[in-house]
Amino acid sequence: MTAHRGTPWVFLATSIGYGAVALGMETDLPGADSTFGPKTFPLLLSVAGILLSVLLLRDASGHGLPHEGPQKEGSSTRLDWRRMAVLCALMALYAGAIRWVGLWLATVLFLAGGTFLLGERRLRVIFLVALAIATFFQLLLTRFLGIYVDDPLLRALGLG
Amino acid sequence: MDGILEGLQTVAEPINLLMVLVGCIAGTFIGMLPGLGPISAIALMIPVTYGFEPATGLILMAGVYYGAVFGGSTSSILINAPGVAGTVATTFDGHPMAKRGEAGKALAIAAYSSFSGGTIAALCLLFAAPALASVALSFHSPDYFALTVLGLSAVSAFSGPTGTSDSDPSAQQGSMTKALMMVILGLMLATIGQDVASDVPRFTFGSLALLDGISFLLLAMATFALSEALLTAMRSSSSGEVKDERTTESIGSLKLTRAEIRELAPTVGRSSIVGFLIGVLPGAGATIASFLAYAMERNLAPADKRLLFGRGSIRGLAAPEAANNAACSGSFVPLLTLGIPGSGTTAVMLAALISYGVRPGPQLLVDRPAVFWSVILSMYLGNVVLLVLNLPLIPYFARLLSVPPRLLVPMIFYFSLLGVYVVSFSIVDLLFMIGIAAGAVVLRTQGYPMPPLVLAFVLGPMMEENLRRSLVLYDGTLAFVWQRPLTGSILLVALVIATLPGWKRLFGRLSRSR
Repeated sequence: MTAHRGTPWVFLATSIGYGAVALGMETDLPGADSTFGPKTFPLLLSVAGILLSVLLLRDASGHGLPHEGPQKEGSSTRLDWRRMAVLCALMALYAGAIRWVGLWLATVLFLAGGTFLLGERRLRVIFLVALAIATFFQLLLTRFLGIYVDDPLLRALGLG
Repeated sequence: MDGILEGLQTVAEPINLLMVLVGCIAGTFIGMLPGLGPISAIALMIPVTYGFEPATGLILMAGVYYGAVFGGSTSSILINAPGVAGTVATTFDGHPMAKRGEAGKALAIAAYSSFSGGTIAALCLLFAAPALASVALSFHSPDYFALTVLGLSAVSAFSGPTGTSDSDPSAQQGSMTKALMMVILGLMLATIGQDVASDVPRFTFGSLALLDGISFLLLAMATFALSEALLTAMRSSSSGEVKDERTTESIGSLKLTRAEIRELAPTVGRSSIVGFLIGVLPGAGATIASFLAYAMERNLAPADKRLLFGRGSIRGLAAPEAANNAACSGSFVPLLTLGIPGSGTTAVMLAALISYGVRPGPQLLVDRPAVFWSVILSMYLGNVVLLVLNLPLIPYFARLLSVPPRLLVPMIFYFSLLGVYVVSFSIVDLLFMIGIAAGAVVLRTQGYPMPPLVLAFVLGPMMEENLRRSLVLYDGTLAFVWQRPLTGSILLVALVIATLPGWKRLFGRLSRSR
């Protein structure tokens, strides 16, 4: 099954699942059983989603329309999906590291790792850029805009 | 007339002129930062304005408001990161222009269009504010529901895609199905959280983090900035380095030719009027205004110009920018004349006004004419200051694009994640954002457009709430569609727009058979 056919199936499953969850919603709260309750709109959306998914499946199988539709972004160039997975993993690690090592250090490591992954090999440039950006925005947030950002490392160093 | 003169006198005071300047500069800078849009910018200014005269404080906040909207447009054009819903439509043509080396022109067009939109709207406000307020009051729930349907139809109709010829309606229809699917997906995402009417948790799966729903900023950052940056990173050259999709590092000239000015003038005029009228409606706001203006201009454009929409059309950039800024002015009409905030931003300003001891409403014009008129006049002044201030800075803003992708892309990742983090301080939000971005990349490579999803997400709560009220008012029936001419008319327009590809196919067949 190609990716183009797979996506409508995902939409169909999502719409059915969404409708199933909506049907099973607890609505024994006051005002919940009126003509238009908390389930009504989701159920309407579920039906619409199922209908549209079926149309998309029909289009994808080539029965409906001569063309599949629009030109896809990136379809004419090679896309490195593994790089996307690695970058998403790096961002997830960054998100986790913020609480553990603090925003500033996590940012430095994230920017350094990201620029290295994308092809920059000059270590001086990598770390200079990372340090400059991380420091600038840390100061901007905490000193200028007054947004408190808890940073265990900077706090331990007496700079937080 | 006396009131206008009094307002002019107030605005011309040195302290107030300074506040306009400070507000515009601060607002532009704050608005460029993802995560800090007009609402955050104004909220940050409130403590600063304690101790100011009401007119002075309001003038400062109006300057910040406009500056932040322009700043949001700047990040939309340069890095495809719309921080506020009203600047999403700016990315459609602004960012492609920047990628092909016309970042300077794109920012200049945005500046001129915003200025023109704001000026036209300020004039409309000056002469028509009280009358428009009573018109705004005539819009009821069924009409608002119809307006949301119109907005979603318009965005689905024009979200086809790049590369689709207008001579091929069948291809347009296929892409419209995808756009409608994204609308449904966006509406589904908007239902996550507590139901407004009954407080019943919906699709939270017991998670406290989802009780407040998904934030717009998270969705916009994920589907636009983050997914765009990921796609850029994924386009690698044979050496493994990130492929630079820009055709040139030049930012291009800021100057517009006479032909371009002649082309843009009617676009800006029409979009400003549409933007102002939509902005007057409480709750409708800059988002619907910018999308409707874009759709209108796309449909009015000649066939050869229509093909450029979505690929860097100057009309496609000017229309939402003019409408967006005009809607900002329009949103002051219900605030000042009725005391009803027309948007989240004006809601914050209402809170500020009350803290100054000023009660907006029908009596404001009578009791405090200096405050009323000085706010309106300061809007015009704010637009002038923005244009004068930002045009010389455009080449510096646009230099951001000269940074190599291998350095720029991680910075965009960082800005996007930071923008969401400083709002919620939630790691779950960041992980959710990354997941949505990955999904958006997959969908975009298969031709599913993101704007319908984002607009549906923004309009979803309004759509559901107004549909609910309409059904309650009309005893659970859809009688409001034919009993209210205004509702019926708007829905008819929505239907025509949604079925436009079908009509084109039919007329094409008829003309061929002759």
